[in-house]
Amino acid sequence: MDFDFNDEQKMLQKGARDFFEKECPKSLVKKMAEDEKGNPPELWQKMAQLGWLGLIYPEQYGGSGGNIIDLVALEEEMGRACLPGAFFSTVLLGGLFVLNAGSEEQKKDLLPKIANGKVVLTLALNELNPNYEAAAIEAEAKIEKDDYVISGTKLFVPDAHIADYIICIARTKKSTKSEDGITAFLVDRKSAGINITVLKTIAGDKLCEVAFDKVKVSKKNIVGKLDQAWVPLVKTLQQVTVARCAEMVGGAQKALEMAADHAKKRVQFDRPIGTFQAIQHIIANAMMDVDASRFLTYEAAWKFGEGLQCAKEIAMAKGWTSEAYQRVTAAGEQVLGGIGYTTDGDMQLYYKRAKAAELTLGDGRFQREALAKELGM
Amino acid sequence: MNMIVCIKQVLDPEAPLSSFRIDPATNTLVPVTAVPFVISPFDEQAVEAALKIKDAKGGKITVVSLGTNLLRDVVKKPLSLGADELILLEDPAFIGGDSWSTAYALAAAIKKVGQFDLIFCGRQAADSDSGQVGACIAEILGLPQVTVAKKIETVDGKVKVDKVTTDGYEVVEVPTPALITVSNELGEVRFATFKGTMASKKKEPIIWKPADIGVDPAKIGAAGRRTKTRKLFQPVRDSKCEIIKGENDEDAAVNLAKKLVEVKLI
Amino acid sequence: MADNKGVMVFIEVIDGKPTNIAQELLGAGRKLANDLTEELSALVVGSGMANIAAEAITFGADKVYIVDAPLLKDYRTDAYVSVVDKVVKQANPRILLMGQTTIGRDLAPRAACRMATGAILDCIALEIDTATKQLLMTKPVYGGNARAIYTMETLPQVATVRAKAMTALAPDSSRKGQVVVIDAGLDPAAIKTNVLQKVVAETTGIKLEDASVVVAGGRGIGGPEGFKQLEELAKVLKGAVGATRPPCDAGWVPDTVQIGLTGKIVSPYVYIAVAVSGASQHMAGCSGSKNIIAINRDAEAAIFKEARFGVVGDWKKIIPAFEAKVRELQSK
Repeated sequence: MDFDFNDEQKMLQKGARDFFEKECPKSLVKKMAEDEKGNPPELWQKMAQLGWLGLIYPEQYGGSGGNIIDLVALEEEMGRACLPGAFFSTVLLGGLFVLNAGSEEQKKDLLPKIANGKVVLTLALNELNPNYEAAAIEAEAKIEKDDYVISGTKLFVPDAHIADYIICIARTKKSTKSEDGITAFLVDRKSAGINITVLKTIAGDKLCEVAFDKVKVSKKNIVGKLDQAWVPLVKTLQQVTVARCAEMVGGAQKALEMAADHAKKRVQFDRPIGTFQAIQHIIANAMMDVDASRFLTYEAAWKFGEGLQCAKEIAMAKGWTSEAYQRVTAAGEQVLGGIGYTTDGDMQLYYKRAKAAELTLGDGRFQREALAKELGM
Repeated sequence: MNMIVCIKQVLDPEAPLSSFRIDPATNTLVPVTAVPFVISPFDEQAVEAALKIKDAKGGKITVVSLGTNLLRDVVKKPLSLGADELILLEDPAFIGGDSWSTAYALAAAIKKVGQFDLIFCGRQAADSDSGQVGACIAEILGLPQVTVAKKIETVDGKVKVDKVTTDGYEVVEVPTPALITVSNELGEVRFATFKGTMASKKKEPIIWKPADIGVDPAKIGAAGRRTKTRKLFQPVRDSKCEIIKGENDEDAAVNLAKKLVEVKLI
Repeated sequence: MADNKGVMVFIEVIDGKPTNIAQELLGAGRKLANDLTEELSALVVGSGMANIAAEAITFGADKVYIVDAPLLKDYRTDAYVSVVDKVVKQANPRILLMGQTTIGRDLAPRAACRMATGAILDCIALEIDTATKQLLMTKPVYGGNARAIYTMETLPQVATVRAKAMTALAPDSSRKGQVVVIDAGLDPAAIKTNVLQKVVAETTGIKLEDASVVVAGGRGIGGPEGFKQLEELAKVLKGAVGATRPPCDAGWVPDTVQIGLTGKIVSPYVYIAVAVSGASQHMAGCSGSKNIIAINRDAEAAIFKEARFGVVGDWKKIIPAFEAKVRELQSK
């Protein structure tokens, strides 16, 4: 079994590492955490020029025709770089949903714009009960002649405040099966009745509360088919979860390297601290955590790419990596000691990102429930 | 413009010093799994120089690399940036050489490539830092050379080069075909687009063995060395640094100033 | 081969005198020649060079070869390689030394190749192996992380030497020596290079290589504005500003202030390294400094292993406070 990336994926990954080292230094990451918008425009355009914003869209929609493993290779480097900005919201959440659900016309309109860096998009899914279940969708969209009127409050919508469009997931029909009757609407952010509040997050990402108060959307702006958004949404969330896991793996890898390098250099009690067994065990545990996360993620990605059943693998990848990343960064803090927990250092960036990443797309408990269901329990 | 670029695969020179270890028994660097292979950075600049000319005037870029265990995802990088062809002199007989025996093999390969207008090399390799392969190739092939270039402009059968000097630069002109060694003052190297990376998949490297390029086995690789390595060692750094402290950064700065005046350094 | 004798030093000239590195080479060559009990000769190539012979002798040469021709006024590879080859065939030195300069790094490899011998560039130490009489050449490798000692069997043994690695002799105008004029014997058609223009970068104030105080900034300075602060400090200390490679590559400062393995070599009395990590490529350019002062927010930075004094902290706070205190102490 060949668990390695192919040569082109390795080149993509090395090139991305060099690119982010130059274009996304930690000073930019820290600046963007404080910045109101949080999506550095020059970096966005440069990624567009390299074909990364359209990486996983087919060429006929202006994309680069890459596959999910290519995305995983790139996402690892984004995690390593603590890349701020709208890649997750626009390219993955919003863009992949359009790819999975949208009409031919919608795909031909929006996807090239995303690939060229011309548009920022996001998806408003979570509400008061952010448990990724259909029953939690309570925002309503009521038909009034040729328009739908949306009311409800969405939470943790990434980059809503800078998005050109928000894809709002709302209920258009009440049904015995809660998955039935869910529709996606492409809403112009500047529409009347939208109120956006940016939340102050620990990881510097811009999550928003978006209140829809009788927002009018033309029925032409339904993304895909009426009442049938749930299935493409689930598929999108699978891809997005795999991508997020890859991002976590990349961050965990970097945290591990920082800890190991420090352990080799830092001298206390007349020897490098890495020569003490306790430190060695901490680092070894982190190595095992990183690689386990990596290969669970690769397996999930590969199966998804092959069109195989992969709900179990994705649940394992997310459940495991969410917790492993936190263990690795906690270990990193331990090894770095005093230097670790000051904001001058970088370990704190990974530490906070690990926690934030756990909470998106289902944490360990959520995934364990899904896994138990897989075994019929 | 037909251009040839010589590249060398090396252990990443940007790897942390904590991973750098010499084996005194064999006078070689101990490879560490964590340290990846890359193209020697000045050679990347040489590739960039050729790409800039291809952008402006069109042409073909042939990349040549000598070594063993040449990782395809490392040496194919110029192909993902826009180079057209990759030739690998991949054989144990080629390695273990010095600048002279390496240049001899590369020159033979270049002769076999055929017609060319320009050869680009990095000014020195990130491992050996010997800085001679380019000049030796130029001597063997009887070509004019310009070393340590930061800007190259082709002008009808000639090439105009800004070469870096201690106090600035000199503009020199030589007829083509010529050999140019490139330095970091050339500027930033480009990144590969995803499409460029995917396109490199179709360009399979051509592999040449000593017999393919008609070299005298006694003149290549370890056999052809003119210089011998007596010893390879890491200098011991043992200076004791006095860290000047203070209640805060500003206070420490004041204490530093006082200390330096006290010991008559300023 | 068997009758190669003596050490020959290729001399570069500026303002009618051997350059600093040429003087250092003569100092080094003198010691090697003494160890071999052989002669030290100097090779002067150029146009209007006649007066240099006497200078070369005062700095240690026993013999000076002069090749003087208008075609040699500017350095051009083809012309100079041909001349070196011709002189070496006549003089048969055991060792040929040059400075690791713009000329040396271009001339030495090609001349060595033409003479069917090898060369080692950027040597920081030279020694005669008494057992074999071979030259032991030490140079930095792996970007300065390590040192290698080389030898070669072929003759002459060619080496270029790093600036400030060797020491010049005190000039002794009573020294006597021989002058040999050699005809350049050049074919103008064989010289392919045309020198169109020489551009000298504008420098205000003290030249970096000559400054007794250098304030150097690294990647952590963040931009050109940061370097303005370092310039202020340098002015107060009557010094010059240098940089590691990243600020030069980023265009924050001109390339000509790059200090390092492929940049300038400096050895000031005081070297203040601000936000400089201490990577080997940079240290290769400044490790000859008598006193290194390091300011870096990373207590583990390699620079602290090279420095005599250091402060761990944010340079943005440290430098202004340091400068203010220095001004205050200077005014007393």
